[in-house]
Amino acid sequence: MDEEHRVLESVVGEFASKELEPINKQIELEGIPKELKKRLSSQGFLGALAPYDLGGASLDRLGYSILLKQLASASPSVAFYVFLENSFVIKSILLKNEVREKIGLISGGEISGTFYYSHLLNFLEPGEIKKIDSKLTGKLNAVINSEANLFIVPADDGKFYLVESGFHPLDEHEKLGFRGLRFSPVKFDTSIKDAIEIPLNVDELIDDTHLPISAIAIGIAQGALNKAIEYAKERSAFLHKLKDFQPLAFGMAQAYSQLDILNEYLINIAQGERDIKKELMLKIISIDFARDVSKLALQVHGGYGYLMDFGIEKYYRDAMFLSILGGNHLDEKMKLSSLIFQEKAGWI
Amino acid sequence: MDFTLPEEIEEKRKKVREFALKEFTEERKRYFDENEKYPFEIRKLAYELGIINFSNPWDLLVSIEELCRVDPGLGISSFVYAFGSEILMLFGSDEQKKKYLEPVQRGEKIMGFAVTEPVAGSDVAGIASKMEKQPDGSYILNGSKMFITNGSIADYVLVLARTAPPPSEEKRHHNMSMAIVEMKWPGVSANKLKGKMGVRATDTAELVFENVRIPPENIIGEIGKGFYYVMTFFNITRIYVAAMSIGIAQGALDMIVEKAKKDKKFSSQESIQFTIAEMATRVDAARLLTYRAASLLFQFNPDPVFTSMAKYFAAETATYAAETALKVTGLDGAITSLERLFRDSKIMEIWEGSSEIEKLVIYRMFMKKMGVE
Repeated sequence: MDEEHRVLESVVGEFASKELEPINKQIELEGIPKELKKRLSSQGFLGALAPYDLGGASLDRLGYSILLKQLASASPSVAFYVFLENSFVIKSILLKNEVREKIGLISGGEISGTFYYSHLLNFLEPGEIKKIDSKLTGKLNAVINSEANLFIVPADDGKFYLVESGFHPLDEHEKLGFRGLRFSPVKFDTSIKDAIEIPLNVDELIDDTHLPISAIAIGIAQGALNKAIEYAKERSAFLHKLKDFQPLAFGMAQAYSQLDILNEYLINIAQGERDIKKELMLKIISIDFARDVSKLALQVHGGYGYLMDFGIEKYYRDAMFLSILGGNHLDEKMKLSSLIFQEKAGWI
Repeated sequence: MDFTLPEEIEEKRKKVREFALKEFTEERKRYFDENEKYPFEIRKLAYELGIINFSNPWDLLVSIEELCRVDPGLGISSFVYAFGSEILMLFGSDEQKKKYLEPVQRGEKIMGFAVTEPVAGSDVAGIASKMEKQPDGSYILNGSKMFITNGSIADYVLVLARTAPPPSEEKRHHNMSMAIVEMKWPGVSANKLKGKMGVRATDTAELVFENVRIPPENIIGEIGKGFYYVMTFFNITRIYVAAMSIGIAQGALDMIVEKAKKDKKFSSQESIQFTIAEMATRVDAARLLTYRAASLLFQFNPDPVFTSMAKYFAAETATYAAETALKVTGLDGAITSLERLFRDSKIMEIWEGSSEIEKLVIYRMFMKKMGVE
């Protein structure tokens, strides 16, 4: 990694420990506070992928991966929020010149947006928005960041629309993870005059998320493992520190090694030419790893890990939620199989 | 070898399932989980309808399974009001049984079992609470306890504390005793623990004892035998934790089967079919391990190896099943009770002996069986 990216890693790491760690419980219980959104904005994180002329930080793929990884290590909710704003909302808006000025509002933390893609996740009841006469009307289920001011949503004509009015979130769903973000159905009754069609290729947009999602997964693993290692150095049982027991020490050392290798792989891919196969491989493995490591970290903490105050259980929930929101497992495994076999594979 | 349960037990299983499906509504599951409230009314109803029957262990075992299959938080709350009662049944005096056990069995009182401390979880022998004998024969208790089920709602708790220093490091488990402590006594305080990841309808608290005077008649069994009583107790309750775990695993399996019924594209994928096959196999294996251990226990011939194998494997099966079901059902699972089963399941690998402790027990007792000391 070059100096510029090292500095970025250090700056975001410091931001995560000073600005996120102390209010993690508040984020989980009450959502991401407005003041934090402002601070994320002033650091350039909310407009990470936006160009300079629109007030963004114009980060490259490695810089963006570092940002998400470091944020996720302290607060997966905040990392997912930054990811949603950048990888989906800002990237979609950039495709439509007439609405590019909205990017300044998003990167400035004045408004937030969301993008609906749950219908692509093998979800049986995503709901639907119908384009009827002069209206976009209907309900979408499982909308993440459903308190957003701006939605980019699919309609039954196969197109995506940007809407800023004529919607309201309904009661929240069960909330497995990313509790800093509202997760609920949203009802739409929007005049077509206020809806702007966004000419996006959703497959390309989703393909571009493999690397950032891997970065969040690696960040979750890093945050959970660091806490477990610290705890194992402090906590004693049977007259010894936890770190002195082989099953625990070996398990954490193995996880540390895997984390280091995944991290290196992430940096290499992010700096190299686009390679969908490698990005997909990394995502599938990183997500599984985040789940396994967060589970290990919780187990190391015992009963304390089960309590919100210790800041461990959220990694376990968030890793699982990331694996759900991170892509369509079956489709992606089939895609990866076909890329590896270089012909149709894994379809029976 | 007969792998069937008596007909009346299977009938009871059906009755409990009907009860859980009717009473553990989605609204109630969510309300008690979100608000971290103990469901007093549901506990009362379960008692009045005869859902909980402590006089027949197989009846209790399948009831626990079926209650936790629908909702572990409400399910556990329905029967855990008698937590610790086995200690009184086995080691309590007739007076203690009459005064403390019978009201619990009648569903009138709630009991708790206080062993774990802030600095001693799996390592029971590492506890620091002390009971010091006074000239009048009573004891003064000082110390604190952590993660105590029913801690803030119990009428009394059974407390493990040191009555003398350990004779040596190797014999740290010596000189511990148990006593019945009434929660209304001066010097006893409870602080309900909030923010648990799962089983949030159950009550969990931190207890503090400051110069609590315990009359000599409240000492359970013999002075100095507390550690052995606790281990005996765990050999019983681990079977019931295994039953909770099987219930959770079965509940997760139910959810994936439900999605497979509704979504033919989903169920036509061979990877999904294999996942369901693996899950069904592991749930059944956990159940068989548990029933074997239970069968020995219920014939008063418990085998700690089989008991710990059952608890360890069933707990891991619960988290495996909940994780796997959630992973493959995706958002369909995430916006249903499956999300809660996932959060609830993890505690099974931690309480009543973590998986690591179970493995230690299995190794030591197994090697003993193999003739290796």
